[in-house]
Amino acid sequence: MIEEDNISPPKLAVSLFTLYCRNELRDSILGDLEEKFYQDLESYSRARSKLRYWANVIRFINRHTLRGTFTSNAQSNQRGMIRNYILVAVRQIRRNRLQSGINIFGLAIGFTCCLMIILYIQDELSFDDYHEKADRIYRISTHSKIGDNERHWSLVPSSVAPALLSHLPAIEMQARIATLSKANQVVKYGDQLYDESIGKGAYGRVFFADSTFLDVFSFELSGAHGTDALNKPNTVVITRSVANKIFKDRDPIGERLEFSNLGDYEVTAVIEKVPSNSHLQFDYLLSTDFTGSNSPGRFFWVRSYIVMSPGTDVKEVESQLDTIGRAAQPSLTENGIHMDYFLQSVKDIHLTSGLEYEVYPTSDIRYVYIFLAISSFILIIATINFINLSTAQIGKRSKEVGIRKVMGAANRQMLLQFFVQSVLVSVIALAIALILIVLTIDFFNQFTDKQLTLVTLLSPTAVVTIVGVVVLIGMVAGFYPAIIMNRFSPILAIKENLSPGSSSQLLKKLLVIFQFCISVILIVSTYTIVQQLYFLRSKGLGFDPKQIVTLPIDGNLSYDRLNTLKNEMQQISGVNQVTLSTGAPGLNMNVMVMLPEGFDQSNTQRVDGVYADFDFLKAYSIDLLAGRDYDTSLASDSLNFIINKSAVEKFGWTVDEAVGKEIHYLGNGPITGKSGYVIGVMDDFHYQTLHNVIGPLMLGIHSSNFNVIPFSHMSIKVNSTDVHEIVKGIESIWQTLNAETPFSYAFLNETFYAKYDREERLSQIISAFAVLAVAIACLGLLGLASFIVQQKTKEIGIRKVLGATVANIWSKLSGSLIVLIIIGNIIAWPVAYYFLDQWLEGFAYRIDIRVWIFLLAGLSSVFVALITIGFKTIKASMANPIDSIRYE
Amino acid sequence: MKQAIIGEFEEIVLLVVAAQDDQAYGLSVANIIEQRIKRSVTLSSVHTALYRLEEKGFVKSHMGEASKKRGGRKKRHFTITSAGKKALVTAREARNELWSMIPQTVIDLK
Repeated sequence: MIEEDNISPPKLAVSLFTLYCRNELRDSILGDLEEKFYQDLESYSRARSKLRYWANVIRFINRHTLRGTFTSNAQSNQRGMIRNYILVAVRQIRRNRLQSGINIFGLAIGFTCCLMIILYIQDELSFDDYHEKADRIYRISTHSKIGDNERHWSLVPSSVAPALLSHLPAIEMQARIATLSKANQVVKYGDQLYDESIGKGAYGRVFFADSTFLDVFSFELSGAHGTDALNKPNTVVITRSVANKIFKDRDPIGERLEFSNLGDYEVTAVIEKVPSNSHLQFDYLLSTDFTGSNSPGRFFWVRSYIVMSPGTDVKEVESQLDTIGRAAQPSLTENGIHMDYFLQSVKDIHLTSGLEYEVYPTSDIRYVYIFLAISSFILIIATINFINLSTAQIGKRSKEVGIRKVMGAANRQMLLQFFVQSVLVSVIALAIALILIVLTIDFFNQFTDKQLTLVTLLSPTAVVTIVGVVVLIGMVAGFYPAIIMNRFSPILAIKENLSPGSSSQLLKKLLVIFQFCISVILIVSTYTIVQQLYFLRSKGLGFDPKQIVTLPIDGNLSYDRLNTLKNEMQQISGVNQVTLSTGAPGLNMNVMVMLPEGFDQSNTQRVDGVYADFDFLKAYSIDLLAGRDYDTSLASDSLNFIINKSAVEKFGWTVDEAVGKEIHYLGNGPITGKSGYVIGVMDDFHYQTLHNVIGPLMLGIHSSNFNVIPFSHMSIKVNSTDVHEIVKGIESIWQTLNAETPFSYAFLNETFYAKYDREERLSQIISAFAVLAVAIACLGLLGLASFIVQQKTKEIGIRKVLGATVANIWSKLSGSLIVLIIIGNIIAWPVAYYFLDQWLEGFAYRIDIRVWIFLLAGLSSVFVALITIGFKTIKASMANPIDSIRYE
Repeated sequence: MKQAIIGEFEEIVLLVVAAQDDQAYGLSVANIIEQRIKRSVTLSSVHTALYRLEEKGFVKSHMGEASKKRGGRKKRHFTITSAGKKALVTAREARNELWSMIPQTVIDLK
């Protein structure tokens, strides 16, 4: 051992020991333990020695070492009785190993799930509450109406927030941010290039921010300027992780970074870490002057945050938003875009926002509810096992109860005894659950993409809740048997083995029905959710995303450069078609506002749009239903449109009559106010995920004459035979012709799948929970079956002597339980159907709920139950009848 | 209360305490038992035995010196009392008595 000097006994073990050990023994034993620890180090590994230290600390818990509070010498009778209860409880637990094991295991799993979910929910609820002004920060969002198209956006025109600031004294400050998520953002330091265009989950990591950003939001900053870091133009604040990546050990402050198309920026501050529970996730903040950007351009749409003075009436402010907001940007109203503005507290954004164009994907409060429901289901199932098994034990304990009563035990005392036993069981379960959490938390974190720690559970509210739940469950499980026992006449109880009355049989039945009802609901739901997700992945998109490689490109490259690049790519063998476009399916589309023939100014139409070169339809293999594709030889085509089937339907036309209709363009930029004609109708294809219905889409020609929106992507259609070689070819051409930008590519199918990632994780978590729930329910059944078998040992023996077969006995014993399970199924089906139907409503494209899933769930629950019960009964019925009859 | 009976493990511990004459403490007793009679013991069982012996009045304890090896904590030294010595002698005599009853044909002690 080289670093022996640095090793010391595990601190936690030492504090545990000091906690329980009485003072006069403490030092001498701790000394011995420490000496022993160093002794161990000579022959064992470090970890092993620490483990041995732990083992010793736990072994030392006994009556000599425990503090006075645990073993008081002040002999109160009550205390003695409680000690006796605990002793009896421990004996009971030991004697009924199977049942206690099932109880403890089931509850432990239940507690584990619940605690994990508590951690998860705490984290979800803590989003953005670390800002000093969190209670006063609001985001301005919009409810836009274009014709009959209503949308909720997290974006507002950049002129709105300053207008509010100058009109309303209740607003202290405002800050705006903008992202250019689709642009190819390359950062250059020295001769090193870093592609920073796309962050986690394909969201932009480069933010353009007002100088006030750092005053509104609180981040841990280092650098001489503090929150003034963004006050000067061309300054940038970076995160520690980026600083480490680019500058390694050097001090980043004062260094200059070159951003493609934007110029040089000086690093003025470093943000230590953007907390993971923030709805803003970024790596660069570029100081930006938004003034003058209320004319259409790069920063027309921004996210705006305002800080209210303390004690402001939010409703009051909100009521004035619309007037001030609309006046600040009259051009929208003029173009038939009706805007309503509303406020969202920054703390609510993560869970209850879900608007379009969020900076970073937000969660949904419904997921929190689903998790909460499932974990409570598991806990309920485990508690039911607990109640059932404790009730089943009544018969065995009637003699003990009888004697205690004869000796003068009052009902109150009997109740206490049963409480003590069941609370003991649930406390043991909690201890196991805590160990399980420590062991599995890393895995869970990976799964949920969070950084949860157990520290959250140490808050006073959490501790009180946990202890409360543990005691409550113990009391619930102990209460019912205690009540029944109290009804026993002591004489009868001693004389014969009393069994719990018929009312407890009824309760047991109800609980088993309930348990299986929940299990079946979970099975059916899991199956349907998994099916729906599979459906989303496998449904045709209208083109084959597997065959399309997309490369983000720098839209400011010259037309010639882009064309050379495109032509070279085209030469690679295996490449079918290359196209340049301002958006790509699954990535982004542009928003257009138009006035089709026959519509008036009050009824403008919002359509999604993409500008491309002449090869878009060919590259994506999209069929034309009518009309023709763009023709390179016709100059007039540069103003014409191809629209999709959905657009045709939206405008109330038929596919054939659509061709030749005039469309007036209302959008921003050089072609505003111009008109073009529909030259073709393309088939519908999914340019967004299947959460969305295919909307009206318009394809326009990108021309160097009026470069409205820069190209953002190059899409390459490949033969799927040797994709690897082709990608290599693409990369080598990229390196020779376009070395200034780092090469990055994605297959479009991966891009689409990434958007289902959230649901994918969710379905995995739900599946895991469902399996646990069913397993615990079956364990309960196993426990019940073993009791029934025990009670009926004699009966089984006699039946066998009279000639019953193993199968006879098996069916005899399982019959009553199977009936309960079937009833549970019948109740579960409509409930599950209702909830699943509701959930599926949220998808534009959904599967139908199939009847056979219910039958399958029902059959499998019966089947598993038969096996579980059979496990016990077959063993009993195979036993020698002579032994069985002699039993008792 | 009857005269305190001494168990087999307690007897061994008591013997070691006597053998170490005023230098015995928890870990040293455990080490000797492990090294000399090759019987694996846990520290806590040795301590428990020592406390039980103390309750029965067979050993006395007093706090001893501290050392760096022990994180600066004092040792609790155990010494055998006269009652303890008597108990050991009684136990040994009882054993000898019983041993002498075994005929040589059963166990040949040589």
